[in-house]
Amino acid sequence: MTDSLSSRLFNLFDELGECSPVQRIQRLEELALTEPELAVRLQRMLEADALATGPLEHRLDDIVPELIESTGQPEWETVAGSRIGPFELVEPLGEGGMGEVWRAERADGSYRQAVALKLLKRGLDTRSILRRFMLERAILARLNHPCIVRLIDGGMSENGRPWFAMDHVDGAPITVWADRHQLGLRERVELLIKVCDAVAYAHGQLVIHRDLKPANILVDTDGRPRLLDFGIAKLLEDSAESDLTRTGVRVLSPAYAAPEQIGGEPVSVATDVYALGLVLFELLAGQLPHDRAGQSTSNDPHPARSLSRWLAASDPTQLSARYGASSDPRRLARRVHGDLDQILAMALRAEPERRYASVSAFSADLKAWLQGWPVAARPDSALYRSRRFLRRHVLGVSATAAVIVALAGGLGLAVWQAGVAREQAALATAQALRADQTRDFIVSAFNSINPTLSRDGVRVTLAEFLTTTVDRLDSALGDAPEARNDLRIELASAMQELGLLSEAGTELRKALDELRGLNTVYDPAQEIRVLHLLAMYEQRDGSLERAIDYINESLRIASELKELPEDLRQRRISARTTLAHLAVEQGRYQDALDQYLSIREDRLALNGREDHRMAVDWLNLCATRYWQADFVLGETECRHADALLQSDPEAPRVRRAWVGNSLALILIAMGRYEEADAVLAESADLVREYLGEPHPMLATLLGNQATLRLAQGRADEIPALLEELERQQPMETVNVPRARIRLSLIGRTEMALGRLDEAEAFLRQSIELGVEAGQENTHQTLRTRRALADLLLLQGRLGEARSEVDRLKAQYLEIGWTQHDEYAHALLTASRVEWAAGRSEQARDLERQGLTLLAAIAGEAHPLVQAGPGFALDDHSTEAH
Amino acid sequence: MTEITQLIEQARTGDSDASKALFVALYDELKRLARRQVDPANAPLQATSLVHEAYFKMVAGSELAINDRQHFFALAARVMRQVVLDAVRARNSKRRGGELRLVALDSVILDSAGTPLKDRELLELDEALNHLQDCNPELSRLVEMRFFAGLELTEIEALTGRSVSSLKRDWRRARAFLYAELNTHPVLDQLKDAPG
Repeated sequence: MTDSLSSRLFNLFDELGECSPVQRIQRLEELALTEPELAVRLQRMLEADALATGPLEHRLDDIVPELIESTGQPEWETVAGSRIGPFELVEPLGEGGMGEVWRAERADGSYRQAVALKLLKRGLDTRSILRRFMLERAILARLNHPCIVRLIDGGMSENGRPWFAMDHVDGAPITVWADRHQLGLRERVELLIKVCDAVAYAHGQLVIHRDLKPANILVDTDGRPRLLDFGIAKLLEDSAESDLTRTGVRVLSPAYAAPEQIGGEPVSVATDVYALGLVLFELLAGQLPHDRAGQSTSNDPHPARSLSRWLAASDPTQLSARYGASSDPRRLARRVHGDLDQILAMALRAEPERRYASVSAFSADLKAWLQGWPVAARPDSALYRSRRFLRRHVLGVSATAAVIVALAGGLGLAVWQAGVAREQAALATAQALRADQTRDFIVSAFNSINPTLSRDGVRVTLAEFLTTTVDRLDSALGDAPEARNDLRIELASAMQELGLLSEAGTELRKALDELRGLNTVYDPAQEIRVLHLLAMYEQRDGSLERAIDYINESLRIASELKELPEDLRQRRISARTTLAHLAVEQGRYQDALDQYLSIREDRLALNGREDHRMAVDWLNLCATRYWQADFVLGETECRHADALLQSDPEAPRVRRAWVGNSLALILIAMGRYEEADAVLAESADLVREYLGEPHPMLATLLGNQATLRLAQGRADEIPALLEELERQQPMETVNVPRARIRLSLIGRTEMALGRLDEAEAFLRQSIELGVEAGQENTHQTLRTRRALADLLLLQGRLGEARSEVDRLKAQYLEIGWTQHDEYAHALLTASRVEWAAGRSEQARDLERQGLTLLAAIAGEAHPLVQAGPGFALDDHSTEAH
Repeated sequence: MTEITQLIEQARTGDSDASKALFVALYDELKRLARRQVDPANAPLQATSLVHEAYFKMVAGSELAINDRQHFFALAARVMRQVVLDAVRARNSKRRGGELRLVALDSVILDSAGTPLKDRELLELDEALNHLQDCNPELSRLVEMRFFAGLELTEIEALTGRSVSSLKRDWRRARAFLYAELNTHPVLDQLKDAPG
């Protein structure tokens, strides 16, 4: 195969791997006409890729076990019977990096004593190695613990090779011993605790072992574990001697090495903690946690390391060979799940500083687990994971095209709107179905996915069904262009709802071309609909301006029509609502408000009465009032929307959660924290009941609950909320606008918790994303900037704080936000800046202005207003939402 | 500069004698490591850590330029492949005839269900790797480094400077290519074409 052919093969493989099954088959068929060989190979590769079974899924160790097991005596330099000091060598025990180890017996007739005798290899007697060898001897001499082998004697052999003798342990590696005795879970943990005590003792003597592994932890016939082989141990105080593992003198065992050892970074007691964690894992699971066969890679943020999962998935026969016949993988997994998983995860963290600080802390947690007490180990916090997300995405996120922001409430609206669009789509589909051709086509489409009729007998997903069907349109309905196009539009709309965005975009453009072409009868209603769908597509794709163009075009077409049929008028309302959402996202709140008001009028005229279908308009209004700090009106409108939904039995009750979310934001801004709390809780219950979890709306509600806690000065409760929020919608899965909101929330939380540097990174990142998306005038961006000003003040960076708050005030004036609670809060921040600068006069003046404004906007009952002058100056943590 | 690092540098810069010498040295070292006496005080080694061990033994301590490191691991992976294949062939010659017969239909199916791998399949994999090497040497090197040498993708990333995500893509390409070659098996083809 030539180079260019080969690169074509692999490129096509990548490309077709991403395609839908239908497109894939189509492409392969096309290719088969021109390049049959390539097509066949490609198809084989795609099939092989899907199957993913073959030798590469196995471990090399399973394939060629004899590669390692093959014996053959190593060439011993010394022969049995040799006399070394007072000992006679009996049999070789093993070969280390530096020397040979023999079982030897005292031969001077004084008494019987079996020892393990370590002898330095010939040819290795360079100064550094000699020093190393003597160091091991010195370390052993220093350690005197029942679970660590003792140094017995040492000296120089006749031919000048140094040696030393230690206790000979007649035993087996800890893992082997435990299996041989079929120890239970508790007994295994108890055994390891004994080992921990020995290691902790060594640490107390300033010795780090650095090479803990089952082979170096033997259990003798009395069941006592014994630590041996301090061959690469390190004396803590001996800083010059730090690089032994890299001198080639002695190889550490890569399988048990901690990340910092592999990376050549400094080792510490945490290195031994890591190794003990691995030993415990192996002791309990029968193997190390590294999962090569499962193809997980080490950059996975949550490596598949949980012990309970390993146990649950293990082979019962293997397990009972280790734990005894009565053991059951699931039961074992259940006992381990939770605390013991956490303990292991903490011991095995990649960063040494995040593991247990000492072996004693590790064993204390193990003891607590045995007793059923709470353990100290905690899972990675949401804050930590978010920090990592921030680090990882600091460039990636900024580089992403400006995606439309969905502010906490705004996104809710978009979701609801999608529901409305679906209903309309259903109506339109019913209409289209009237055509006989269409009906026949649909019937055949359904037949094509009937498992009993299809080629492979495979169940087809909805997404696959849609792509298959849309691909068949041209051939099946070539002579019925209107019906074909109607169907294309409906299918595209459904694809869009399912998230098949690019496919939907392609079909919609095709449909628009068709509508404007010569083959079809002019149908302005359909054109408007397609334009509307295209606008939604562009909005999700992040092209705000193109979305607006499409909407405006659809409105222009509608305005040219003399008489609008009802469905078209409904569509026009939807289109205008989308346009208003776009205005919200750009921070043009007044424009949005005007549009929502006129939309409400039109919908009322169209529907003839006010029913639950209008709740969406009231909600849109009240959400906008919140952004505009028009709280009294906003509350009224929210309650009206809620009443419409509650009074109408036809209304989908869960939509009250969206209303509740907006209402809660308003209540928080007014300082009515307890009411807000209740509303948020009720809304969350509704979502849980009707939509289930995890659900993005729950994440939104939790985020606002966290905002509430900030305002209440109860920041210490927030990490738990963020944890839950992360569960509802992991940071990794959120889009840029949501990430921006969350980054801001985390930043403000970090600030309230006193972690100022972290806070700054989060806040700046959030602001930067907002500015990049052209949303510097949105509530969200401005609020985050105000938090940043407060933060700078807290950090004592007075000059920066002042210039930030000045810029902020100027911007409020520019966009006319002088009657806004955000402006009031900014004045309070400015007052704190002046106070810190020692200009108490100005500070008091600004504070008075800020509180007066806040009282006018949020009401006299607002806690800051109630607290009165001087309060804001003393306490930064009351920084409201 | 030690002998081994010199050898690596010479080999990397195209000295074929040095390459041969390095190959032999690596082969011996890997075999020696693999043969290491197994005793209660020495945990059984894993085949996949042999190359790491060899690196620690032979090179660690001396400063290796990054492209020399890359060369070392790439070559060691190639050698490891040789060591493994030799072991498989040795196993085969011991039980002569038994395994190399055409695999019966039911055992093909058993294989895909995850029973231990047949030697035949490994020999075929070696063959397929040769084909892959002809049409895309980089992909075959990746397979050697990951499968035979047991390097993690992150390690390969550090060695080659290619991102994990593009390595993952390459791994998928290579795997599909190799499996496609393995599956061009007369029995399997017949199975697919069978009606019903």
